[in-house]
Amino acid sequence: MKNVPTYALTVFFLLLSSLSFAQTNNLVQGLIINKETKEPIQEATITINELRIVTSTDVNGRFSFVSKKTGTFEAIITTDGFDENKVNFTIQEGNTTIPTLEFDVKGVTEVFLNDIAANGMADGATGDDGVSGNQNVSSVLNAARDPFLSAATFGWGQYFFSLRGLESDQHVQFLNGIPMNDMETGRVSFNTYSGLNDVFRGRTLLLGAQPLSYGFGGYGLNSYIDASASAQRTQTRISYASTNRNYRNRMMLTHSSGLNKKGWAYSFSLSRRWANQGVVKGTFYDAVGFFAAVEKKYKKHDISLMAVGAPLKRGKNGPATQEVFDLAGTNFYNPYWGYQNGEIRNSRVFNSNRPMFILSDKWQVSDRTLINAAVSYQNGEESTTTLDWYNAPDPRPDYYRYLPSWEEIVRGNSVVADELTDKIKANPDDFLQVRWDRLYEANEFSKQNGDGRAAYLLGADVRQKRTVSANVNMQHVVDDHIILYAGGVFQNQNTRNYRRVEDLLGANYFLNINQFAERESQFSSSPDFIQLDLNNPNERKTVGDRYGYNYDMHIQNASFFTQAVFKYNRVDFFVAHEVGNNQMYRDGKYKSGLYPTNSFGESDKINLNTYRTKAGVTFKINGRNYVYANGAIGTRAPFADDVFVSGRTRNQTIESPSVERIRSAEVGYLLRSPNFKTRISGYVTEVKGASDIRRYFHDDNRSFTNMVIRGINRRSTGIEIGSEIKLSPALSLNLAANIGQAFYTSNARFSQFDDNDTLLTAVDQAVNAFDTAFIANYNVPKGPQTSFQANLFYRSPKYWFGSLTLNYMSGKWFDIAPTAKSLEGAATLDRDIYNTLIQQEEVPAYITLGAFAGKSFKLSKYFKKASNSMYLFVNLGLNNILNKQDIVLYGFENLRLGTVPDPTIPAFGNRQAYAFGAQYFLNIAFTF
Amino acid sequence: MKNIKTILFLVLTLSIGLGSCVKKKFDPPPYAGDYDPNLPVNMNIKDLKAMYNLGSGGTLTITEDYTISGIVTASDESGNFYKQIIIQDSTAALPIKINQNNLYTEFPVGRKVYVKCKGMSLGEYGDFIQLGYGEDADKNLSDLPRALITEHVIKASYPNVVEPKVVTVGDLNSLALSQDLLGMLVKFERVQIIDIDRGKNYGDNPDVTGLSGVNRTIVDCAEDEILFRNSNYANFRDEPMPDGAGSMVGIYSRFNDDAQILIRDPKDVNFNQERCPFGQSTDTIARIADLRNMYTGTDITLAGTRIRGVVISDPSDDFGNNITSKNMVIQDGDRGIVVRFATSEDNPWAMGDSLEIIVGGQKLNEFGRLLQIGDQVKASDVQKLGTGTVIPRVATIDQIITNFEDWESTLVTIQNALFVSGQNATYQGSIQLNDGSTTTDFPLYTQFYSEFVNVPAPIGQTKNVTGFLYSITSTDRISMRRLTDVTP
Repeated sequence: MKNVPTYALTVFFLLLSSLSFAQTNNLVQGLIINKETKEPIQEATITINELRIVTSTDVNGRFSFVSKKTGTFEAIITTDGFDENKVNFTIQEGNTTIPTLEFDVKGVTEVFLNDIAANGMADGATGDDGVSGNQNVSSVLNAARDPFLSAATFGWGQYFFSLRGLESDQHVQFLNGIPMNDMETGRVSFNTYSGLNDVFRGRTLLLGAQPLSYGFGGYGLNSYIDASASAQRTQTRISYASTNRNYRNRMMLTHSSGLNKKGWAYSFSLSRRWANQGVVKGTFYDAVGFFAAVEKKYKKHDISLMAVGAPLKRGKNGPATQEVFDLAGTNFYNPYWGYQNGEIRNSRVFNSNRPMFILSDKWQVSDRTLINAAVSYQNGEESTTTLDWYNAPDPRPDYYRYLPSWEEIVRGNSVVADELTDKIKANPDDFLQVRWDRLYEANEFSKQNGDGRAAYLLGADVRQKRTVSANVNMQHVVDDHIILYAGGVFQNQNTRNYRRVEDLLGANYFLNINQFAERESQFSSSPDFIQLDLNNPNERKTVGDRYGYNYDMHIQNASFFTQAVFKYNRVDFFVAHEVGNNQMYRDGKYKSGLYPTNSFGESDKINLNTYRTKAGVTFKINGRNYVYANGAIGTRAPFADDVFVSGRTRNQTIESPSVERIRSAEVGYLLRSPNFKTRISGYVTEVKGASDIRRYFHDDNRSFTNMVIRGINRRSTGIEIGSEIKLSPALSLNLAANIGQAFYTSNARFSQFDDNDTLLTAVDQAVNAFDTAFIANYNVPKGPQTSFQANLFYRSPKYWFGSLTLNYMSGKWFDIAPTAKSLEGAATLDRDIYNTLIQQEEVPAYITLGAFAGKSFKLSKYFKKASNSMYLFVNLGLNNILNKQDIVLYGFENLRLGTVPDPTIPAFGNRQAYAFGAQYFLNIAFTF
Repeated sequence: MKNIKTILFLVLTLSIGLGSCVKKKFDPPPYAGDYDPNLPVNMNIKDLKAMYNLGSGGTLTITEDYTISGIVTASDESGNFYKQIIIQDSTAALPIKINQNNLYTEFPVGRKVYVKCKGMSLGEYGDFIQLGYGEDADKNLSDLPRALITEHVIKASYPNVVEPKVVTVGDLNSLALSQDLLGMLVKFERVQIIDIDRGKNYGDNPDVTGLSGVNRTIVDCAEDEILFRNSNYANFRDEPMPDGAGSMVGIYSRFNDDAQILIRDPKDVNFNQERCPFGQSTDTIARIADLRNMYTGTDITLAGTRIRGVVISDPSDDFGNNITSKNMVIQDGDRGIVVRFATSEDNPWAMGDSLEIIVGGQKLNEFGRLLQIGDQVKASDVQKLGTGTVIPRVATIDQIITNFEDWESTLVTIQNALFVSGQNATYQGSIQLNDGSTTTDFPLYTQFYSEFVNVPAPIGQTKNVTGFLYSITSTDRISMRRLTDVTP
């Protein structure tokens, strides 16, 4: 990329002028750039022992220092904390400019940080659980450069900190030119490449509504990963890591050729992560990662082909109520597993295998014009197993009716409740884990008594996604001041959604009927009503068959963006615009007995147009002080899940689906001085007219229900501060803070659509049945809203580093159930009960302490046979050193309200999950 | 080249690592039905039940270390039983209340269980002794909480067969004699659905009736009846009960004074025989006229007799109901009589039904001055032959007064009767009619519980009036069936 910002030069000269007050001293200046990409390297360290000088490059790769002496000195330059590059500097009287230095930059510190961030997440954080409203910041390489982003990622990220309180789709990620945010959820599909840290670490990050070179982006963290073969460091690297998290072991092998004389480069990487049991009992982890890329520079083209896959299988753990944690005696209780023949078996196994292929071309049309084009194809499935049952007791051990609280609160029998508590505590494995033996037994009886219809089975909710994407993007440098961008993105996704029989647990078949309809006396009169699929009524299903629900969701998005960036001596500004079109439709594969006319075949096509505009300006007061402001307005289409009322049963959509309106703004101040850098930003993002559908089982209606909430307005606002203070050339203190709020700014409207209720149409609901959801001023659950971090980082010239981090986090809220805030006739309730019901639970504030250290060994120093390129790296990271086991990671109110005998009795406690206790991450890597 | 070899070696090493490590296949657990823990049994069900003082109403907590064992004879699989299993040993049977749905998946019919009774409680429901755990808020026996099931109800072998005890309906109707049979699996060799319940489903829709269960009635060829109790939440609720007659297996139960039988599911009903013949082959079919003539003022107990007739009274809750619900007026030719049933439930027939009624064993007597047959006629004594029409006799008030004794309980029409006056402005009570045939006014009588009681009567107008002649007092009276009996 040729777009080395011209303003950087201005800044640089301003910097020089400020330094030139140093009277008689000799000024030395230089530039360090990446050997392959020719981009400036920031944070490279220059050490001249003889002169007792340690300095580092700025954001533009520039360094400068003053020397009292002249002559030739050996400078040790490290671009990533480990590699030492010895260069002789000749310093003359007056001003000296060192010729531009070119180095490889493949961060090692950052790779390690990357590992920590990627693996520090407890279950649920990895995005496949569908935990509402939680988006984890991706593990990021360059975050280490910015104290705030570093804190957000490595310290707070694992505690579900959400940058700027934004929805996940505002954190946009591109991989080799292809957008990686899932079209259905907006979340970045980390599972596509997880575990391949070696090759996916080359990232550039930009926070907020700033100009991007690769697309319009989002209003949160925009990251671009360049995983092309030539971007990989030329080396072979093999590593082993041991940790105590979701997995315990990791092996990785990566080999990259670098670009040869004929313009070819290739790279491959293999990784394996596994644990027979993770930190949480009953979880296992089994993941493979493979990556292969080849690249060819041909005339003005740079063509790259990449394939990546990361088959993953792991046993999950889930949230629970505090009652159950207390009964189990541990906050790491996991309701999903149970013993089968003495072995632990998990009933909720997540499976992901979605290989992806990207073909891209970087075409340098002329000195001034660059075109990037990429196409990708991704196909595969994600699934999570789940227990299903028919006319049998609920197999979930933490089912609310099995707990002492049910006896006490609902049945009013506190003596029995106490007795139960004692029994369960004495033998938690018998009561609080899945009883596989009983499931098999019930099926065995079914075989002996009848034809072996399953009372229990293990099914899997499958999402089989096929995504095709294309992106073309052009940059044109008009002159020294103006760069123009234009580009278009096209994405088409078809997701097959169905449930699949995985294991009949000894039974012969499962009958594919709607057991919830069967229980409704109003439907039992007609045998058609209970059919899930009238085209294949009463079908017997066996392993591998689809059952329950079966539909395709087609989504197609296209957008076109233009951008102009202007750079002048004292001011930079930009304006960008995007227009988009979103189409979606459902294609039902089952003709439902309850919805025979609108379940089978294609739904109407929902077609929504969007636009977004953003603009910003940066004033450069002088070389050290910058003030900037960015703003954006626009619209966003809802996700298919929030448009189709009940995709699992029918084609019905919410009435007149509409786009939501988003406005976002930030203002900030940036100070860059050699020993003190700080950035302060204020941000606000306002969303209006959003829709949300929450689905749960409604006990009183004995049906799954879809709670359609419309007219949601919310705002997130706050202040971000990140500072780096160089206490000495090797020791720096980093401080970061986020003080924010995310909350609903008004009440919304909601309506219930039962899956067993055939009578209500969207129009009925719109006209008659919308109630007010009293959600105004409740907090949107977006992780800790107030977070502080203090970090001491020591980087020794002797090729080691160490760091100590203290985090404080507070203001994390439970996700509210709008039902509990919208009780009918709430005025007639007992005041105490009412007050309890309408409260929003806040997670107690917490402090965590982390540390990490690493050292590199150049093997040729120790073994004569070793070549100069052989290195050994040893890193150790410690998280949550204080071993706090009571940190609530996330929590939510149960959408079900109390049932028999009184709907206001809170029979359903809030559910929550806890963050891991003390963790370590030890990594040993060998490169040659 | 050397590098490549090294890399290949490493890939190979890593690949070996890839295959192993994490277990994914699970073997099914061993079959639990082969296992019997052989716990020592030191109590039988009969003696355990005897500890409880039936009728005391409270609960009795068992403090001794008693272990009983039994085979499950009924579970909740079909939904006809709810949150309970019934176990039986050689001495008796006992329901165990357990707070858990779908118990059949663990305790199917035929499973042997041991029950450690210490800490559990005995209680009663409708005079039926049950085993449960503790008391609920109303001091009634509560059920065994789920978490305590494994501690108290220990599973053993499966399957086991319990042969039902063959009994007659008559055996069960004597509650005192059948006490030991309560809860046991019994079998009738030949029973049938009573005529009024023929063609009905096992249960009703609870959303319509608002009831959790329904009583049907079965009867054997000796005409002994017993309640056939079905839950409206049973999965066979909407299945029609079979016609014909045959064997039935079920749990003998009671609710207070009512003996009842509950099936586990419709497979317990095996009706492959002809229905029992109606009445006895030696019965004579008597004309109502002959019976009326037999009566000379003293009660006569009839023997070996059946009568036939068409219902001329209207019990309809929508239009009529101008007659007490245990009574029915039937007419045979030009004579009629009142049939009095044992209960109002035994009398569901509609106006116009053509019936044959076994009256053997019933008394021919007068209630007041009203001749009737009864008063223990049961539904099983009646069979519907079809429907029929009775053309009312057109007569003047003068003629009616003259012939009232003969024409009692028959349908007549008085033409051009002036509604002279009434007790009320409505039909309620007596309205004096006069058709000019005599100076005497003739009362049209309407019960206070009839459906048209509050309708204003056309006092002062002249109408045609149809009704049945029906009076228990010395005053002759006519009763309308419904409003359409008054025509212009």
